[in-house]
Amino acid sequence: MTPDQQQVAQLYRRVGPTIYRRCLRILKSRAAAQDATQEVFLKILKSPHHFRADEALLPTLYQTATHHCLNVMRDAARRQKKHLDLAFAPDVSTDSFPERQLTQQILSRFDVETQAIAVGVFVDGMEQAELAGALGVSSKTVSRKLTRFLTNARKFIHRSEP
Amino acid sequence: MTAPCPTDFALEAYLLARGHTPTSGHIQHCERCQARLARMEEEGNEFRQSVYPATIDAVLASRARRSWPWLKPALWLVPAVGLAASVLLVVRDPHPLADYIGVKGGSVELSTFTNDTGAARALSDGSTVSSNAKLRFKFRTDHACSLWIISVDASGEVSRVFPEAGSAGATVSGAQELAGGALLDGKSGPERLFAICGTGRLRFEEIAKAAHAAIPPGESSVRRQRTIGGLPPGTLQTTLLLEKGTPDRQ
Repeated sequence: MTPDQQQVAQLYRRVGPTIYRRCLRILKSRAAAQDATQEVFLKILKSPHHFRADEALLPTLYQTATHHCLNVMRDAARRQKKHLDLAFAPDVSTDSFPERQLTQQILSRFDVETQAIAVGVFVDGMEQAELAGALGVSSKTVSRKLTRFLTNARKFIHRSEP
Repeated sequence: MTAPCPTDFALEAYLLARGHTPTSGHIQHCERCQARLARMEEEGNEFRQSVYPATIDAVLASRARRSWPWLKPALWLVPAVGLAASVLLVVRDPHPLADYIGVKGGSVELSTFTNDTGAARALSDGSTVSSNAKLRFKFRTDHACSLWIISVDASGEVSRVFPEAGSAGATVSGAQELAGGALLDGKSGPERLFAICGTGRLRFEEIAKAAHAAIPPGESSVRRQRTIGGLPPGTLQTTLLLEKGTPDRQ
């Protein structure tokens, strides 16, 4: 192995588990998570962020893995003509159950950043401030996109009602 | 009132920081979080035991098709102090993927970078560099410890590399780039770097004394001796040999 390959291999061993867990959580398939993990890692290598300390790299890992796996799910859902199948965090309040249903039904109709925000809140049970840090966006952006997501989701449901 | 359990994201931060996060207190007393962590560790082991071996070749092959695209963007990381062009990195411990010397449960890694040939490059054990090369370091440890980086040359001289000042080592945890760097002395011949990280307050004088005892003057002993004995129990160390050639024109 060249020094560069050794460095890449070491980084992969260190951060691979984090990527794999994220992909497993979203894709719920070991085989799909395995494929996604290496693809996400290669995307991260393209970015200068991978030079950071592991903890500082976490938002990049989370964001890249979330976006990539949501795209994988969206493509699979389109091929199979069904909704995204997401598992919700146990800590998400039951009061938000209607929002959960909305999320499940229409998530794939939104751009990937909005999807990631909806998944962070409704699937991962994250507070908006934590999610903003994880995705590398402002809390204002999270709030704005979440509001837009819910508004459009309700409109969509309303239009779909008989 | 009981604090809510941290999210998976916060638990990932906990794992990456090896327990040094604001959620540590909660996690240590929460059975549910400990069960979640155990599951996450299990999945991490799954990655190491099956995913990594199955995918590393493809990752490296894909990587090889690219020409180090991250080097240029990373240049800004190097302080402008005298480094007009700069370097990158690396570091490396002599034994790939098992590159540490230490007690069970602990490991340290030192990565060293230079740009002495005009292009950024990572240095591996035994690399040839210009005798006045500028070096940058990145260090990683499993556990917080007090770090010293020293160098030993063929004359037997032990030099302090990092931290530049202070009577104690620098407290480090996780992976981080080290401030400053090093400028080699312009003399040709072998020079060995040691990164030494201990849990107690270790003074430079103690390390220098141990290094003098372990490495007598002479090129062969610098090249041969890879460890410094006589350090307190639990002290981790790793080393990198550099072969200094002729100086570059500055």
